[in-house]
Amino acid sequence: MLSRTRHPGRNTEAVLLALVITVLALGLALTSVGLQLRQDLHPLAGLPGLVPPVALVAALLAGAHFLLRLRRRTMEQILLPIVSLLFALGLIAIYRVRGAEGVWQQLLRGFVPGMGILMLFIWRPQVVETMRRWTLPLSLIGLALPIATAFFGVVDETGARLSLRLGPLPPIQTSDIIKIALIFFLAWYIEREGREATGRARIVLGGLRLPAVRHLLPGGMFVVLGTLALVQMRDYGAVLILTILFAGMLYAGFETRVFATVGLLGLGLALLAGAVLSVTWEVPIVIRYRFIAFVDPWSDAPLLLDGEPTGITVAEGPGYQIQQSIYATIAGGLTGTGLGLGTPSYVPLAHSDFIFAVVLEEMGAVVGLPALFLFAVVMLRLLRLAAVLPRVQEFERLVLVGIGIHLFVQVFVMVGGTLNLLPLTGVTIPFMSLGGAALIVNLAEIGIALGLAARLEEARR
Amino acid sequence: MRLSGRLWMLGNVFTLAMVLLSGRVVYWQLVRGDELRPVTPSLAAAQAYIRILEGETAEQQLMAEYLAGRSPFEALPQPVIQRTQDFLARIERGAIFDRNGRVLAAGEAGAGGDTVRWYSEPSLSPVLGYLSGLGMGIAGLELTFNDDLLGLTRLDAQFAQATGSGFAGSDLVLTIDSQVQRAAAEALQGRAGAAVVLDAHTGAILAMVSSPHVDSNRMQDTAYLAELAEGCGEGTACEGIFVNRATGGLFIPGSTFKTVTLIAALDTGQVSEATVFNFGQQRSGPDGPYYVYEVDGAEIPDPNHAEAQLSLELSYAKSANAAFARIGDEMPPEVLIDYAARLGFDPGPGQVLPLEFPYTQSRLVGDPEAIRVNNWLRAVTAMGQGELQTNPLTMAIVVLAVLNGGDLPLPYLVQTVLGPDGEVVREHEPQVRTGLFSEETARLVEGMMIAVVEQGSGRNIQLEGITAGGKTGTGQVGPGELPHAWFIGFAEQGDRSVVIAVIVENAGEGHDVAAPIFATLADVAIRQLGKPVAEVVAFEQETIEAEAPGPPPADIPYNPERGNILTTSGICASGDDAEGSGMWVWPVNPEHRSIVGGEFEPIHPGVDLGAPPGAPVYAANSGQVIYSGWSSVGYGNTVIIAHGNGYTSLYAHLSQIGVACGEHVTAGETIGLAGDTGNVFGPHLHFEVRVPSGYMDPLAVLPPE
Repeated sequence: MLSRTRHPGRNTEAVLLALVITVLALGLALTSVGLQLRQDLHPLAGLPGLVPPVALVAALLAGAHFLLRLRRRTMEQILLPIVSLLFALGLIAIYRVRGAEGVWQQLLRGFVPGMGILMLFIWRPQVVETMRRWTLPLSLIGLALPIATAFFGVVDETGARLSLRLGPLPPIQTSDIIKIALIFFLAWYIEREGREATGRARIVLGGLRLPAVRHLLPGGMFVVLGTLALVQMRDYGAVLILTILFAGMLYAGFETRVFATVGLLGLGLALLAGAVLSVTWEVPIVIRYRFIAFVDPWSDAPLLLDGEPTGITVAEGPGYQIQQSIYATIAGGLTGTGLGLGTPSYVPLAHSDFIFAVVLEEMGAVVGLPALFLFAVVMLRLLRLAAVLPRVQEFERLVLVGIGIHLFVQVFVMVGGTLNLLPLTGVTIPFMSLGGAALIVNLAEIGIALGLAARLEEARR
Repeated sequence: MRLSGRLWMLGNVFTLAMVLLSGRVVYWQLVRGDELRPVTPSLAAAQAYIRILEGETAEQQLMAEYLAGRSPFEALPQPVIQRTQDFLARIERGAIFDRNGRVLAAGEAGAGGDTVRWYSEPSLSPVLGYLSGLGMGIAGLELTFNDDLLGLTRLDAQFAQATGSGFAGSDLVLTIDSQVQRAAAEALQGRAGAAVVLDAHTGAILAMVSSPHVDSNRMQDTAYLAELAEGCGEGTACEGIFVNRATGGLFIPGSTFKTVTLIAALDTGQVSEATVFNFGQQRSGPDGPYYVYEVDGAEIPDPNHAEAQLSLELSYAKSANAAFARIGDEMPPEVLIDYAARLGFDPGPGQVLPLEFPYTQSRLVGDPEAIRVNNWLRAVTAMGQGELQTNPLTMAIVVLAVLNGGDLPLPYLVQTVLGPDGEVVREHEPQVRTGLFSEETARLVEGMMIAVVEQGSGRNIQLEGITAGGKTGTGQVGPGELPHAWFIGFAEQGDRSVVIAVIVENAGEGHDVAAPIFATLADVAIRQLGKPVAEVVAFEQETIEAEAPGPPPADIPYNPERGNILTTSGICASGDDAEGSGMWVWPVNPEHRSIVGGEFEPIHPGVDLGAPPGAPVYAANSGQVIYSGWSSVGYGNTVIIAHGNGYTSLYAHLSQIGVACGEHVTAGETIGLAGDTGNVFGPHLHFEVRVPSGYMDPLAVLPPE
């Protein structure tokens, strides 16, 4: 009774989630009407089919919400609404380019299992501690899966091996698993080795005192092995995320300058290695094309493969999708073309990697820019949660930082690629892109954050 | 948020990255947006597209691109093309009518089911312009009124655009009178030159011709463009074929410029009606006797008259070089510069006339300083040589200002913009530049222009019942070349009054070559002005009613919004006296009577008969050939025969045409050989039967197999 008066409950979250459901329902309905009108069909004919998916999303969000209420949690009331709003925007865009089929795919292969894991973390926050205890075997499995994929994975139409088929389960994209494995591994490793390593730097290089090889080796080995597996899988986006996660977590995890320097050096070396490989090694020629297309997507310079002309220009080849997304952005303008009224299907991979171009074209900058702002809020909430955790919970803090960095890299690299701010790298945009494993991992990460918030609240009570 | 140390730094990085991404969105939309904007093909966008291409001015680039055999729009990035096509597919571009409601340009269903633009009056190509391969206006009125023709200036169309539904563009009703236009085109007889005819009261342009010119109907035809690219370089007969010479040409005006000098001198009081010029001693040369005006030691010859002494009026009427060289010599340079600028020669800021169509400013002199210090240059400029460059429109503007007492009603081409239901979207609002010179000056100059026709160099102009005035001009272009022949002037009868300016390039003396053209045009224009102008909206309906008693209603109507505007009848012959019969015959031999591919349906309003290349094609009924030649709208080599009573038949994709336009044929007569020209997948005969309201099913009129 006493606690009920002290704690105002989770009404903020309830209201915000109701708003998100409204936005989703309205957005899908308007898109449907727009699409029907364009085909000269009855404008309302598509609406009944939209009720089940909206109801499913509403039910899962309500489930998570009432689970939190049941546990009498009051912390972190805006994280879930923001994440679900971003998911809703993505779902509307997916519906626009892939129709109801895409919506169901996104829900059944990503959202439902992802929300399941999220609710698990809410319901039993101590799972995080269990994971901490089992970090080493768990992360080794996380490392082993991509390595197995690299050699035994399913080859897709582009020649890349991205997914692994385990028995009767649908193929899973293992590169998403290694990211979360790396987050846990580095958090565990830095907490364990951190203070000791910081005190006794052994190697002196110029003016820098580097830590002993012994301290660097396990973390370095993990990254190197993972990178090699991902390169073999030709998932260069994942390589980039892995490298930045490594650098960022070392930077955040150690108070002294030394490890931050190591992290940044590692990042620099990885980029350098990438650049060197791109001119010497044959496989990453894809990367080189992406650099060429990044510099000038409209270039009508002939595209060369090993010095041999391929018969197409940069603009017709790797520059094409960047051009399309730029024109989609311009076509959208401030307020967008209107839902269902633009031509986002011209953008290749509009449902996954380039989903932000769809948002910008049909919903305009007026929705796209706030979405970027909301991403920033999610990341900052994660950092804030890390900041308020007690100092002894080094592992949990680092996991939150890792999650924040992971989301950041995904958003920055992919939206940057969409807008030609960075060379194009194929990664998914968290919560928005159509993608099973990636969405599950991102939702699980939010679940972890909510779980840790719950633990903190329990500790304070 | 309370963050510290490293976490604070990370937070900064996250935030900064999102700000960078937002900035990039803003960069594309605001900084590069106009240049790359793909979905609103407005005038600005059209020009922006052209700017993207390397080069100097839009027009030059356009010319260069066309001469290279390319339509510049096709060189655009694929995403722009896709989005532009998407946008344009929803719009039915407006038609263009002349002042009597005659269709000058309209969309017509092409053989491939797509809509193509059809221009009915070839001589208007330089005025109307043409569309790019994507369907965007890129020259002439099609460019400057692109937004109107696409309907984008109307609120309802903007709404339709925003909601993604289709809509119709607005129609333009021009001031052009097709009869005057044709008379002008015929008068040039294919010679290089240009002419404009304006209503002197309003500045409405009744006719504007420029020769040689491109054919708007063939601008999508790569073979035609390649032909131009090969044959129309510098020094060829079709040099400058992309330029509308009437508004964009730059010619030396010759003595017509004496009118400007006269206005300046009278208006400032330098000369008066009473001024008399003495020319001194007459000399004799190999080309006859001449007088001389000496300035700064140089001699300016004056062979235009025999008299040793002439009044100002007769000096102007007989185009006495010595008199005008003297006026120029004695005139303060600033006066000449000022009055020339008021009339469109090197106008200063605020003096440029805001015309609604592209118009090249005329030039008084290359370097204004030269005319201040060089008396000789000023003297020859005042009599119409020197470094002057002008076009017929500018010279017509000079006469227009004279007739309006020193005020200038701005010339215009578009009278009304009509919405799809015939409602007026915009009506031309008269714009007048007042006080270019005094009314008294205007009255005097007008009188002297009449003297030119009555007793001066324009004596061979004889018009019954019409008061005419003007000025001849002979623009010397260089040794060994015939001069440009000019005539500028006006003609009046009662309250009807027209201004005409004509140039025929390298053709001889103005009074020999250009003055007769003036006389012809004055006669036709005054007559046409006397006829009542049809209400354009009513015109469409009346036509349908008038021809309704003839054939039965069409199986596939023409677009109802447009009415019967697309019969394309009367393209080279009226077909009015054609007499067919009720007896139709098959246009191909029995073994070729199978329908291949295209059946009669709205997107394909004819039948495709399986005639192999070289198989004879017969006239399906008796009548008169009203079209015979290449059709760029996808039909290839085409013959259209009028059968009277409103029926016409069309035979497309021929490999050879065996009849000439205007020829009378009887049913079953061979008119050509089947082929695969135009927009086809294989050889066949595309056969259409048209009535005023649309297309008939050919199988319904042909005898059963």
